[in-house]
Amino acid sequence: MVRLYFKYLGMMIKSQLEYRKTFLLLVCSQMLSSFTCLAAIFFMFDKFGNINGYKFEEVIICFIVSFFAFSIVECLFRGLDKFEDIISDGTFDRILTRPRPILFQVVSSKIEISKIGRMLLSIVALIAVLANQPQLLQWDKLLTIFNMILGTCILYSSIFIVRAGICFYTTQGLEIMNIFTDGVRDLTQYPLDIYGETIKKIFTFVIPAALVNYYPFVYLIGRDTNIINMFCPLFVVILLIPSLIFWKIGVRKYRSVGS
Amino acid sequence: MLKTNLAFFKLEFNQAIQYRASALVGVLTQIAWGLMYIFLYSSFMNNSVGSTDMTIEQMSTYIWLQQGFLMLINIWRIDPKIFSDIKTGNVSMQLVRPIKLYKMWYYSVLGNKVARTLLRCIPLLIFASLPFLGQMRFMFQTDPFLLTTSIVSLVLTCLMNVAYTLIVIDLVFITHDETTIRQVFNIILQFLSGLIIPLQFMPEWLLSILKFTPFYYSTNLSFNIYSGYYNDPKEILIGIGIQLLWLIGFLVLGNVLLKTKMKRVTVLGG
Repeated sequence: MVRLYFKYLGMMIKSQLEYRKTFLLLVCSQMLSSFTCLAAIFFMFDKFGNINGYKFEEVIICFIVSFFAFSIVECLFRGLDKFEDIISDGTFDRILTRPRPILFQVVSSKIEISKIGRMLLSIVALIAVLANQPQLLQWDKLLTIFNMILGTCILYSSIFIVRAGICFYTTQGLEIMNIFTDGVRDLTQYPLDIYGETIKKIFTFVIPAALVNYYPFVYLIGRDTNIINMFCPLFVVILLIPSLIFWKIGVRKYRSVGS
Repeated sequence: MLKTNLAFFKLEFNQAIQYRASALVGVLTQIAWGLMYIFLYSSFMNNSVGSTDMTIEQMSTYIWLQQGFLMLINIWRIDPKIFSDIKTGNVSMQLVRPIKLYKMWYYSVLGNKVARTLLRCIPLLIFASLPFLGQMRFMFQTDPFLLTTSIVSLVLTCLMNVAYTLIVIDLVFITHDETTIRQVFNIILQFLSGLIIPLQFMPEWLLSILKFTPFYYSTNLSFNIYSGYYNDPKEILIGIGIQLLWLIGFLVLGNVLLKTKMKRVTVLGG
């Protein structure tokens, strides 16, 4: 299955590179878009100095983790992102007839390489932050950052799976689900406690975004040295269970719409 | 002539106004979005060393207006029918008609935008003015001068935005590269006209440059007149004058671009 995935990946890369100029322009515009977000956060700190006592150098880590993870998920899981198209044009019927896991096929059916622009910018920013802050270059801090990125990826993927699962009932994508994808991405650009205690609680217990954002973040900047904070991003793995169950129920309910 | 163009406005308006349920869901999304930004910015304004001359009430009103009129100012979510016409070659059908293409497109985009905005802004602003939001609610402007000028400025902003959209459409027509052009023009518009962060939160040096661009005189002007942030009558009237000049500039540019293209039309598709 891994080999098949890489075959798909290779095909996607080749087909998108056929239109080289368009591809390059797309990557550039992606970078421009991420760059404006980075500039916005920079300007805010330029004007206000700090927020809740957090400095720019600290908050920028949250921003990069959130952006980097989102770009990975958006690039690799584009099939889930655009799942309503797969349902409405009947591609899903074709997927069902093949002897491979359904979710695997949906995910590998669309891989958007052009999102690499956002990823590249995040990597550059991450390297710049690490180079400027030598106190982060310790194995436990680096591991925490790695856990944060991994945890955020898992969080976004389970949200994407639920969002795609809803399409089984509505056949159309729902704009409201953007709150949970783009909204969570924008929220987690800052440590979650700045929005107030209520929001922090909601995002710890309902949508566990604080697990990948606030708790490891306070460990990272040395406000809380409890070792559990370092590994709490990994607990979001539990979220995958209900979202996969939801997906399975959806597949069973599915009725063809296309031709 | 005007009657034909108004017919295009009506056609698009009536089509767009059908999607009431989806607009309602959109309103919920935008309320969540607005609240998130208001929380974020008020946290910045309350708990930091730096400061701004904007009050929390003005900032909240600005954000609610931005959410309420999102469909008017966003060039990403316009009806893609014109773009698909260009892509599939159906545009040749429009070319044989005895009407001006620019005007037809202009009125269609306008109709679409106005209908979508009306569906969203009324429920959203009603919610936003509920008293339980306290400082964060959408406030009413009672000063008659500020209210009138902000409405005039909003209308001009809308017309300017449609003209900007038409320039984007022209460029897509010329280059046949839809995604990139739309994306780049959208990013520029969003960032420079204060839709990512309000212009008042940007550094002074950038603001002094932006005063020479049309972006400073669109949503930034109309929303901030309404919120009372700009309240010097002379400054407001000059601002509206500059806005009018930019509107004319956009209209001329859009027409010229289309005319140069019209000399040699390549139609895609069959």
